Amino acid sequence: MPDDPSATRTRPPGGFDPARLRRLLDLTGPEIAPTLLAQFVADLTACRDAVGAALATPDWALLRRASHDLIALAGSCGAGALHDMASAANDLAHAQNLPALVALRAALDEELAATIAMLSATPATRGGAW
Amino acid sequence: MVKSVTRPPVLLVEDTLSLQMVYRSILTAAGHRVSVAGSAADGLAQFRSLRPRVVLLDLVLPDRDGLPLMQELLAIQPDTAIIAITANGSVNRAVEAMRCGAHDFLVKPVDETRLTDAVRNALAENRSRPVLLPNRTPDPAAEPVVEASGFIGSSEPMRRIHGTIASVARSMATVFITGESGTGKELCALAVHANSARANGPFIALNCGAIPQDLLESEVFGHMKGSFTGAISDKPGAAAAADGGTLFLDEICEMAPALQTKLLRFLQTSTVQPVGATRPKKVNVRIVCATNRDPLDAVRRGHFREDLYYRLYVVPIHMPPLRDRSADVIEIAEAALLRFAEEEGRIFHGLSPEVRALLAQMTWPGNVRQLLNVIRNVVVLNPGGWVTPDMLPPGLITDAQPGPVFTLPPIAPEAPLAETLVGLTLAEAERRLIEATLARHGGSIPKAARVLDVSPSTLYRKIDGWKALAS
Repeated sequence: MPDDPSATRTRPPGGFDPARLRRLLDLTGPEIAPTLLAQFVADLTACRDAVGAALATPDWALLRRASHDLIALAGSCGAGALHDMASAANDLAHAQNLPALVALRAALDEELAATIAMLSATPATRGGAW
Repeated sequence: MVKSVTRPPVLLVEDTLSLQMVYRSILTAAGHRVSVAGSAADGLAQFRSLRPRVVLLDLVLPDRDGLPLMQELLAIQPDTAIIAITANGSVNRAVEAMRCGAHDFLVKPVDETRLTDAVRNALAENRSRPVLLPNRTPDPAAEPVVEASGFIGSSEPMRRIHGTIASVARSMATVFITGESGTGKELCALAVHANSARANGPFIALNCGAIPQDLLESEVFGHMKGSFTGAISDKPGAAAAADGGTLFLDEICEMAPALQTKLLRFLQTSTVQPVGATRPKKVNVRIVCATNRDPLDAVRRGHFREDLYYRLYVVPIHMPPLRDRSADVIEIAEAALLRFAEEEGRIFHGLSPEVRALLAQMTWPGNVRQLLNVIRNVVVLNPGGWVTPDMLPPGLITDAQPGPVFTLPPIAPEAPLAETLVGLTLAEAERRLIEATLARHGGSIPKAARVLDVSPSTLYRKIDGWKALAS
């Protein structure tokens, strides 16, 4: 876990695999790793906003696309629980099951918040806490 | 001075920026040169300009569906290897992508090793694909499936299976075949292999249910001399023996959990490490697997790893029971009659109308295997001519006759089960339980089999046995 004392105390993402994220950062290299972390945060935030906007209408094409991207993002950065929820949301979006999606949203937003907070606090290089 | 343009080998079409960075980093670390496009329009423009050998294509793009784009790319340059990428919810679309000519597909989140292997294999294989113009749907009948011996049937269910095989055979995607015992799962696997680019390579079949579990690891991955008692020499193992070809793992759900873990690692890394070996070896193998159980049910019961299931269950093919494709019974029977007669040096004219009617009425609990056994029995025990009802094996005709199956007194619905079973023999108690379960599920054998955790063919065998006793 990152040891930035100024970080907001949020729970860690469910089912988080730190080795997976660390591998990606190592592959990317120290110069690009900070950009990758920032871009993960930006893309996850965009997905969160897209899901919220799509549920309001509902816009099924946007929901499918946003949950599709969320599956890949969550899985790539090692956020296991978020990945599972995104997969469920994608299935529900294909089935156009609005009540179930609305019911899932709170948990999805909570997991997204935990993942975004974790990525924001993650050191780009191995000099960090983990 | 004229500059020579070096054609980059890989074009990545992916709109999510962080994923662009991830995939590019992985491929660059593996030694590839990568160009990136963030939209369908940009991807098409770069493709026309750069003419890459391999394209990694996200099927969900913001400005256009990935499938028509893929068809357009292949129309421009048919020998491009396009690797389609999709998330869990759209595997059907990935199968559709293969029908349209995709070389392979990857499921998000993309595993690093799987990605590099897919690109490496695509670069290594230099093949041309049929051009599909936009707005044309591929006709499975245009590419007839090379038939593995015995894999025949022109009913609608089988035509769909032939179409699926024609679509997926030439990719590297794992095929997962389900179906009752005797429905032709191995023949289906052979058909997939025979229609693939690996048809000249080895086809290695391994029955995971028939081999003792303590020997299965050695059978799959091989062993070194002296690695355990009885290992008197080095043995390569089925995975290594299938290098360059296809490895068929039958009864995959019978595999022990510890070996499932090793199989998953093999699928992720494409390396095998024989028992007792110190170094792994890279192999290039296409996996086809099969089971007569419900694989998802095996996952739910904890008998099969969920991550292995999703890794293997990429292209599912379900072999229907023969009773669901009764239109094929006579076609299969006549083909078998011809083949077996030739083998035995006899001349049969065909099936008489009475025999056709009888065979068509039967439920065939043993499926195609049972039908083939009946025909072989006829050929071996008779000199030739028309096949008439008296040539059929004894007891077979009663299968076609409607009649009461259950002769034990019915169970009172409110009576506690234990009380009704005490005093019965074990066989009678088993029969009561089966009958009660069937009654509860409207006589559906597949449903009752799921509840009792046996295969439907097991129940059919028992019911046939009760009928035989009754007769």
